[in-house]
Order: sequence, then structure tokens, then C-alpha cells
Amino acid sequence: MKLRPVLYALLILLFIFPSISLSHPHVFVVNRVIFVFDKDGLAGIRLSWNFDDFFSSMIAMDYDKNHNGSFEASEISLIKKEAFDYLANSDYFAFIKIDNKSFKVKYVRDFVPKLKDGKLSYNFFVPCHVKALSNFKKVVIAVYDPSYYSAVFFGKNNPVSIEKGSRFKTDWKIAENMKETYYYDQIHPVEVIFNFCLKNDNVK
Amino acid sequence: MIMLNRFSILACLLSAGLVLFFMLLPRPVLSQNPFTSSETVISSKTRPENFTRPKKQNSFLVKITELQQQLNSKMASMIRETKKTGSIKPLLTLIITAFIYGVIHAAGPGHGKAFALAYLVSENRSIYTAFLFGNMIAFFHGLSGTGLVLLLHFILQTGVAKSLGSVTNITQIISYSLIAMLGAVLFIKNGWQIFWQKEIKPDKNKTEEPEGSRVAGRSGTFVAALIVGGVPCPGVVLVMLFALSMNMTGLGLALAFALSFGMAVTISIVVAAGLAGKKILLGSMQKHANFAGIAQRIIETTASVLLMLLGGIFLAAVI
Repeated sequence: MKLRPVLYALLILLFIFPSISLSHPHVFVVNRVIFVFDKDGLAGIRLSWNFDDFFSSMIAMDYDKNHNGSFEASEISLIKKEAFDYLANSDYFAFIKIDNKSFKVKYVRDFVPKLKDGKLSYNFFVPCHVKALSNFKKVVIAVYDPSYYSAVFFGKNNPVSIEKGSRFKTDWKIAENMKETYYYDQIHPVEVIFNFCLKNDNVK
Repeated sequence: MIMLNRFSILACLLSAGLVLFFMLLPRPVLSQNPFTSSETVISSKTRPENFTRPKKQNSFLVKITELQQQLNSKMASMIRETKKTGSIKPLLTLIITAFIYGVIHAAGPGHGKAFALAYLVSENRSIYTAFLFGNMIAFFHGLSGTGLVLLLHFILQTGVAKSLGSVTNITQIISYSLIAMLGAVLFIKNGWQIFWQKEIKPDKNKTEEPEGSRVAGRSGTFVAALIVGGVPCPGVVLVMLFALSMNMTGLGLALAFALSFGMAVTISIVVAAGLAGKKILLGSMQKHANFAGIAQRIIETTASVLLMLLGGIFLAAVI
């Protein structure tokens, strides 16, 4: 029996069979992360998502009932109920670690959907209190859809910003986590690695 | 009853291994939109705290995802431009872009490629039928998406975002149940041939699809393609919706067709390549006619078991 054709056949089959799964990206999200401080340290993380035109049009068609190009209070509450709250099942796509320990996102607040020139955006706040000390605390956040129905990318401009952080020393970087994968071991999460501590003049 | 030699024992073990591998596969992630559906829950396999070992990512999937995002954005800009200027100039570019989007979109996970391949291998169909089958799946996939949007928007006049999830779920339940049943029927048929056919040789006539079985074969292929491709394609749904939001239904239909045609190219090539793999494998065994015959029956029976298992696994994930 010739071996080369057998190898070709096996290669072809191996190429095809790993693709057995259901989901693939249908929604594209550009994500921005804002670290928000209060007087004690990190208060939480605000996520700002800009959606692709196709998904935007679907939400606008269904929920901008009066077709005025913006959402009123009643429309916002319906969007929250029918096109946002279900994300609780996916931890709101926010996977956080504080000093290398997982922090499960159980709830979020201040949800604001907006329409601008037909493009949809969601903004919401993830409470995540971490007290600042004299030594650095590390908070890592990866934002992704585990089902891969949506593909989440970091924005090219200002992917990370800091609010009310003047009392604290901060640094951050965005990096692919080569040690972890999601969606059946196929994709590495891209994370913001954020470090902060009290500035010297604020240390008691 | 056939006499088992060492080759057939090896082939049986390989088949059993493949079946076991698929049985151990995790339940697939649901294809529902996590924004609008309560069905999507992170499985234990995708929870970050369960990650234990470093893995290499699927760079191909990452690349085609980035490419899809760019094409998605380009298509939306061109549709807006067409609406704004009233010019048909970008139309050809737009249709070509939608076609390329379809080609790349179907290259990712899903779209019934695995079901199609398992069906074609278990039925010992020709490469021509594989191309035909791949095309039919893609067009049914696109057609069901287009039909769903038109039905919900113009006739039922209801929101698509919410209804899409429930309609998709119903079609998935029907489709996966029928796929599992189809796999079971083919398994019984192929198993019967293994144990009751006295002389086992490669069935060349079957590959040629003789005249007598052509009509039944074609209608069977049509029904199987309808079963596999009947689940609406969310990609087509979203493009149609965007065109409708611009009051450009005709353009939406043209784009849905171009996108489906693109998906047809990819699905056809993938299933034909898979089928060619089987034919190369059997062709390499021509000197051992008896073994080739046994191998053919075992491959076909394994494929029918896989079809049944895949249908069952996916059904369990959506009910």
C-alpha cells in the first residue's frame, strides 16, 4: 500500500474535522477600557463598545421605535432588557483578574446605549473595588465573547484611559495572553495589564 | 460473513477511535446571539479559571475574523455611499466584496461542512455530487436567512433581533434531529452491508452513481442539503437587515445572493476535498481488493455513525 496518498487523505480530513462547531463571528465590537478611580483606589472599569453597522442597524430597526436616530428612556430600558442583560450569562464578556485571582463580574451598572450616525455603542460600568496601597496592585482584564458569536477588538485610538487617577501612579500595557485560550482552545485573549499604587506624597 | 484480517482489525480500531473521539468532544457552543438570547451560557470548557495549559491559537481563524471585520465595514460604507449618491458605480465592487465575504465567512467554523462531509462519505457520492451538495447547502442557508428577514419584516412586521433567536432555535432542533435520524438510517444500511454482503469489494458502480439510482440519489441529496442548510445564516440576515434599514431591498437580495454564492464556493471545495481524501485512500489500496472493500464499508459506516453523533451532540446543545 502506498503511504503518500494515505498521508494526503489524512491531512485533508484533519484540516476539515477541527472546524466542527457552530458559532463564528457575526458581530464585530471595538472595545475601549476606562479605569475609574475614587478616593481609595480603583472603583471599577467602564467599558465602551462600538458595534459594526450591520448589528447596529438590527438594534436600531427593532428598538428606535420612533426612528429619530436616538434612544429615549423607554427604548433604552427595552434594549437593556432584550439586548444587553443576557450578557450576564457570559460575564458581560469581562474577564478580570486581581493580583492573579479571578474576579467574577456578577452585575454592572450605568448602562447607556447610543446611536450616532446609525452606529450603535454601549457604555457600562463594572464595579470592581481595589484599594490602592504603597505597593503596586495588578488588575488584568480581557474582553471577549466566549461563544465567539461576537469578535471583540481593541480600539486603535485610546484603547485604554484613566479617570480620576491623579492621586495614583499607574501604568498599563495591552498584550496577548499566550498561556490561555478560549473558544475550544482556538483564540488567545488580549488583555489590558493595569498596575497602580498610591503616589509617594499620598502614602500615609 | 466476512473474514477479518489484520488490516480490517486495524481499520475497525481506527473507526472506534474516531467515534470515541467525537463522543468525548465537548458540547458545542450555541450559535445564538449572546446579546439577544438567554440561551448562551459560558460552558465549563470556556471559563477562564479552567484554563490549565498553554495552547497555540488558531491563527487562521484569527486572520479570517480580522478580514471579515474589514469587509463588513467596507460593505457597509459602500451601501451607504450607494444610498447617498444614488450611483450604481460601486455596485459591482459591492457585489464582489459580498462574494469574498461569503467565501471567507464559510471558511470559519460551522455552515454544515462537517455534516455535509459525513453524509457524502457515508453515501459514497461522486466529487460532482459533492460540489452540487455544497452549493445547495449554501443557497438553502442563505435563502432561509433572506426568507426569515422578509417574513418577519414585511409580513409579520415584528422585530428581527428577538425573533431571530427563537426561529433559529426551532430550525436548529428540526435540522439536527433529522441529521441524527439520517445518520441512523445510513448506519443501519451500511452496517447491514458489512454483515450480510458475502463478497466485499470496492463498489465502483456506486461511485459512478448509475442511471437507475440517479433520480432517487438527486432527490435524496436535495433533501439532505435542505436539512443541513435549513438553519438561517446570521451573516445573510444582518446584511439583509442593513439593506432594509436603507430601504434598499433589491440590493439586499443581490448581496444575500452574492454572499451565498461565496459560501457555496468554500463549502463545495471543503466537502469535495474531504471526499477526495477518502477516494485517494481507497485508491491506494487497489492491490488489496478485499481489504479495500472492507475499508470502504468501514469508512462509510463510521461516517454514518459520525453523522448520527454530530446530529445528537448539536441537538443536545440547542434543546
